Amino acid sequence: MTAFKCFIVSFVVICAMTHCADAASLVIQAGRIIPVSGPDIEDGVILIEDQKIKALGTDVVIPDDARIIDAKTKTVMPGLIDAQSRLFLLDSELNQTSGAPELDVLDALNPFDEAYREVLAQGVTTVCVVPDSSAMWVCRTALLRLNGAGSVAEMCLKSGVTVKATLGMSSRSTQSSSLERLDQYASMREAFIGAQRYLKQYEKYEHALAQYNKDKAKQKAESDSKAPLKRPEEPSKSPTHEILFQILRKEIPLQIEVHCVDDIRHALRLAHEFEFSVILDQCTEGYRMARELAGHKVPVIVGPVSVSRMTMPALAYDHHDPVNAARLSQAGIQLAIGTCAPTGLDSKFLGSAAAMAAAQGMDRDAALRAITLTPAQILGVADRIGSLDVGKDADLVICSGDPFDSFTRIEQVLIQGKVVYERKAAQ
Amino acid sequence: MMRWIGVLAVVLGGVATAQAGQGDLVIRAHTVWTMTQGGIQEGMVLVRAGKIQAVGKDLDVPEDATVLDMRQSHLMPGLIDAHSHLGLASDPWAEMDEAVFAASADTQVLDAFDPRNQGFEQALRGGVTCALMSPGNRNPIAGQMAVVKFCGGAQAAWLIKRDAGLKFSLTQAALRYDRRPTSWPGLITFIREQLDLARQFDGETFDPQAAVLKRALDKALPVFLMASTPEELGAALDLIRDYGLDGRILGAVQADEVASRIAAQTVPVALGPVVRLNKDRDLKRAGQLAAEGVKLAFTSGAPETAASDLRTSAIYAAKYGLDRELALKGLTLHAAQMLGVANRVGSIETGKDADLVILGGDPLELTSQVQVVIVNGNIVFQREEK
Repeated sequence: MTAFKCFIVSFVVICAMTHCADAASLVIQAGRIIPVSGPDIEDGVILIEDQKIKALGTDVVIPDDARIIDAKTKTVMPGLIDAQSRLFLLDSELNQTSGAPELDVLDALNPFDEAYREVLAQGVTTVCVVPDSSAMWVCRTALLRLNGAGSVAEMCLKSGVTVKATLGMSSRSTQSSSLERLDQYASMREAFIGAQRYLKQYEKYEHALAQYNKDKAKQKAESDSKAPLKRPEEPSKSPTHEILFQILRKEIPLQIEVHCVDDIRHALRLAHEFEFSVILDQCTEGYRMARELAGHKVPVIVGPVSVSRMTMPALAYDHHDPVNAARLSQAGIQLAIGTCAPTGLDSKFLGSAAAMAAAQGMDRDAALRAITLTPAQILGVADRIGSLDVGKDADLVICSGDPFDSFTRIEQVLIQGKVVYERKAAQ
Repeated sequence: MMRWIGVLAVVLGGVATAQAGQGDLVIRAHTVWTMTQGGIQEGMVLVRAGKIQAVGKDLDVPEDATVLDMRQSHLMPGLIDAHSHLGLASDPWAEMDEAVFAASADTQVLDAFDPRNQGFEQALRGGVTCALMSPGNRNPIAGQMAVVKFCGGAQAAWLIKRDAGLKFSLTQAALRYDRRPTSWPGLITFIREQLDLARQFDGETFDPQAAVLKRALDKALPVFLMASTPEELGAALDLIRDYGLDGRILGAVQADEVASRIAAQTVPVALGPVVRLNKDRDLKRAGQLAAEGVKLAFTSGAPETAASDLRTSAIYAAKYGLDRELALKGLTLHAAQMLGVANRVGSIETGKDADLVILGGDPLELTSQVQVVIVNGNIVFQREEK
């Protein structure tokens, strides 16, 4: 009992202390602010309170007790978001061939993976963790902050972000045939037809249940006990169908990894037929059909930009072109760049990937957006992260200059207003 | 505002384009990175008959010369890949190495080289004009290497050096279950035995294997040893020392503790592929080796990594601590010296081959794009903005 009281007291004290620490304002005086959501601000100030951006601009009133970070010669930008990372996954989880839509990547993570430190040092603050699997259904993905909390719950920004699936990936080492890919399309379609049937049954059940409840209430009010009402029987559901329901009800987007032109068309056809929200993942040959793709108005997570860091089916390898991101962006497609690389550490090259896309002709602002605001929008967390705006989490990067310059150094990284990385002088 | 970037057809086969023709070509650039005299701001290069005729600031432009005005762009020598397998086989992993004979010193990679390979376009897009063509890693004594250019046409146009070197593989890949060597100590013993046998070669008997190894022992043929881990590197350095080989190291990406030994033996290193590395520790290796005084070049091992990513390797090396000038020289002059072709390529100097790359910005920026590639004075790649 005493121990319990002690615990409560200390808990309250700790909470109060934490609150105090958070309540104090933090001010960053920046030479240049790149909010991404709007034009750059020269000689601006960012005021951070309660982990969030309270104010930003050139005329922000600095509270007396505020702690000040002097970045007057530096550039401040939002923390980078890798829309396709393997960070926190065990090596044994890589290059898998199994999966299921009801699986949650959160259950497979190693929150103690130290690799995140080197990734954080390159300005990446959030990653969407997606296992490397060639299964048709892989799992549900999650967004994790690189805050070093060592606990999945404290790192998780959002779970069930998407359901990851693949089309045309049946054989990783050898080239898959177009017939094989057609077969996969048919299988996924069949799964949705099944789910749709269940959904209809379930909606019928929900309807009957509502009627039953209404009738029951009416019967009770009238205290008229005639024939006893029969409660409708709930249709049996499988965990897989539960998730497929959510996809059909547009509660969770389906992220489909596709490489070949025919796979891309299959994914679009399925999304059209079953009216779910689709995110095209990797979309290796997208540049070959950019205009057609633009007409569908679906978001794309493209990657890897450089062919050298990838594990892809041989088929995709042949037609991989670093120009992909640039072409899709120029066609007006909502585009995020992910590292999509074999290991978690590769997420450190997110900025490089965007710079390479810029070299291929992608507009520089669009390239920066593709690793900040656009992934936040595509993954449904743009109210929290992705740009420097009042009310958003104070996830930001202080760097020595242009984000795309090879020799720009990342000086400090903040997540929710807390400094989580600081460059050592010798580095 | 929409900018469409199209890639013009790559002109292979040494066919002169209208711009280059047989007449003189003058290129003006924002900076000419010569590699021997630093960078010349607002520099000019005069190309005549496939060679660099003059380099400077205010050259006289011959009346009939074609002028390529690239004053917003940077000009550097064509990049040199110090280890590549491009154009050797349709499936390089399956067809590149002899499957039965662990000692293939007498095989020549040139016999498998296709000078019109489709893969060259990718290399040229990355500004890579020249490479050390190499057999794979699956035989301890892998075969003879050649230095080529990715320009197609007659052999005289693309072959720079036939006897570029002999490759040894001191890696796991050289061990097999179905022929000797099957173990790590067996691998080293095997190589030593072959070299010892070659020492006794008198030139009288027919022994093509020993004849080649004898040339390596006489330092008439440079030796390239593929070695990556500290153990492999240590063994490679021992072989170079014990047999007095004219040795260079390929790979070396895990050179940790061996760096100072490599420097002490003054063995040049063709490092890579750096673009595949992802640990900060490994990415800093180039800077550390250079700090020890090791001469560096870069490799793609294409198709292990994309041939077009060679410059990316140098950029990462520089970002993680390698001196910028050394990063550029590693892509050009130092690679040419390591491959024994510095008399022809590797710098922008009078008399050298006109193998040039024009980039949209500083060569060590990822955002700088290769715009034009010239080999033997001919435009072989041009990126066009629509």
